[in-house]
Amino acid sequence: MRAKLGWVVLLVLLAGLSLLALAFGPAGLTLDSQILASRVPRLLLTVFAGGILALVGAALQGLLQNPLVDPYIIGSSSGAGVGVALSLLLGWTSVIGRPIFAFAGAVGALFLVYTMARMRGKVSRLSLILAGVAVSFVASSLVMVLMVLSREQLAQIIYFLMGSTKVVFTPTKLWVFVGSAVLSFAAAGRLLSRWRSLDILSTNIEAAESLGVDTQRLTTEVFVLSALLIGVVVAFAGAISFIGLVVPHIVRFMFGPRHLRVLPGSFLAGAVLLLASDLCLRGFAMATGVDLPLSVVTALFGVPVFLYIMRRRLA
Amino acid sequence: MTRNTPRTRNTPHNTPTNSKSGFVVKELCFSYAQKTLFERLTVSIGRGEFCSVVGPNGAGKSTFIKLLSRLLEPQSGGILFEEQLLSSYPRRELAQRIAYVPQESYFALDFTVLETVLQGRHPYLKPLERYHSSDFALARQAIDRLGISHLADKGINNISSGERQLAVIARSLVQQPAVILLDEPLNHLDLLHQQQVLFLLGELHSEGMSVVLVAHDLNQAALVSQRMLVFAEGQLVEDGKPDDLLTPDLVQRYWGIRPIEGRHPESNKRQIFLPLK
Repeated sequence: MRAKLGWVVLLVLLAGLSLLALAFGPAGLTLDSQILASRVPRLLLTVFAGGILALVGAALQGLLQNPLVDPYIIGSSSGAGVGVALSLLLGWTSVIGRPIFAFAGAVGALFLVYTMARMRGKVSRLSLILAGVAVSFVASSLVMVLMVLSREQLAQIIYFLMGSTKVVFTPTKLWVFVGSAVLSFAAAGRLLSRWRSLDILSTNIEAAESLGVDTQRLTTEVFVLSALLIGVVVAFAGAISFIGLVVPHIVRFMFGPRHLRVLPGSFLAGAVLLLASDLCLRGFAMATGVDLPLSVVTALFGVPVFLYIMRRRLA
Repeated sequence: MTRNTPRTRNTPHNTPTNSKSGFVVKELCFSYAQKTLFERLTVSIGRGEFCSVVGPNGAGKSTFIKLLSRLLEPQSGGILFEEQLLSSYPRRELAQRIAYVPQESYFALDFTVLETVLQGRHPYLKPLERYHSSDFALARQAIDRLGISHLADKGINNISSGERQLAVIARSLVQQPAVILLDEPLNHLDLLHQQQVLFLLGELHSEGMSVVLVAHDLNQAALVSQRMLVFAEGQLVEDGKPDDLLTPDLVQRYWGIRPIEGRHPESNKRQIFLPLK
């Protein structure tokens, strides 16, 4: 009963906020076609980024058995940061160049983490987390170095690292985005198809294997798909924090722990939370003329919800 | 004394009538990084047997049934199951035939008991296939059989560790296996539930299931099983009928303590008792 109500609430919120996002912006409450042309891509990117971040967060929390796992722990966003900083330093900053550099950075980090975590042909959850954290730190240091080297672009890099869906889309970039979004949905579908295996993985690894789950294959599959998905999100919207950590917890509270519900539920709730944050950001920009990075708002928005739920659950 | 060939006291059980279709372990070697356990272990367990596996701590009992359930791979030698190499089975297919009940279970997510038991249907379902009503029926039946129907909708982390163990056993029944391997399943159970599980294992055996039970309690093992495998320091040292094996001499040899001998009043089976002095 509560689950059904949850779906309705999420869908209504998503629809309502989407309409608001189309109708409302720095130009006021207008709906002319020129403004829509910039608001529609922003809306799509926001829904995509929020949804995918939360879904990947849920899948990784399920895989790594750790409630504190954030999609960025596996290192791909820091890798993307290195890519972007590098593209700025090299001056290859065409509209399409940046996402490509970011994605390449993410894939590079993924490869590094996976290689380091692999020992005697096996990858354990703990080694993945540790290798991810290690690569993240190295990548952050590299970004610092690149930032110092390219002082003029400092603000741009910082801005990128904190995420934004206020992105200028050229027609080419829009097509690239739509294409990657379609591929990403295929990857997300694949993650969803592993829902029962992820459920079973929450018990001892030995019990899971004896129930017929190939845990090595599942680990590799979920890890690689997650890292690629995060790479795509970061390439277009920067590193938006907090959504991937918090939304799965909220959704489990609403729907229970089964991944069949948690994964799609996280997609919807992540999209809703990021849309709401983006709307706040626009309101703030209208009132003060200052654009805040998204991560500032997601945290301000998400933390109270998260704490409320945590206190209710543990009470 | 504890070399490669186990002492045998009972020939019929050494060459099980139907050994081809159960497990055949041949020249198996296995070692952990720090410790060598099995060197050229050879033993077979026939279909439909009820085998108990006993031995002092660190003897390799748990490792043995993990090898049988392919949770560990031998370094050399092979295990045949139903006349095929165990390692040649796809995981899912194996899970339809062999169920494994671990010594301890933890659950990171708070599924209900019913949801947990349903997971035993995993090997029969395609990736996106949802549970059918027949799966629910099997799960409820197994939950009933373990006497925990009143807990079906409780969170798996909100029940006692003993009740959790019963749920895990129910989950393994739902796999509808031909063989069930249990690693000290009675550890957290109170007397009533111990008796219940032992009785259930007897029932499963009489329905034709092979049961391999790792047990610490020699008396319980002797009461329920037909055949006893004694491991010590990574060797299979004894293999025979429990009633022939469970003597003060044997216990002293491998456990280092001389018990008092007795008989179970009901079944007249051999039992041992710890001396107070």
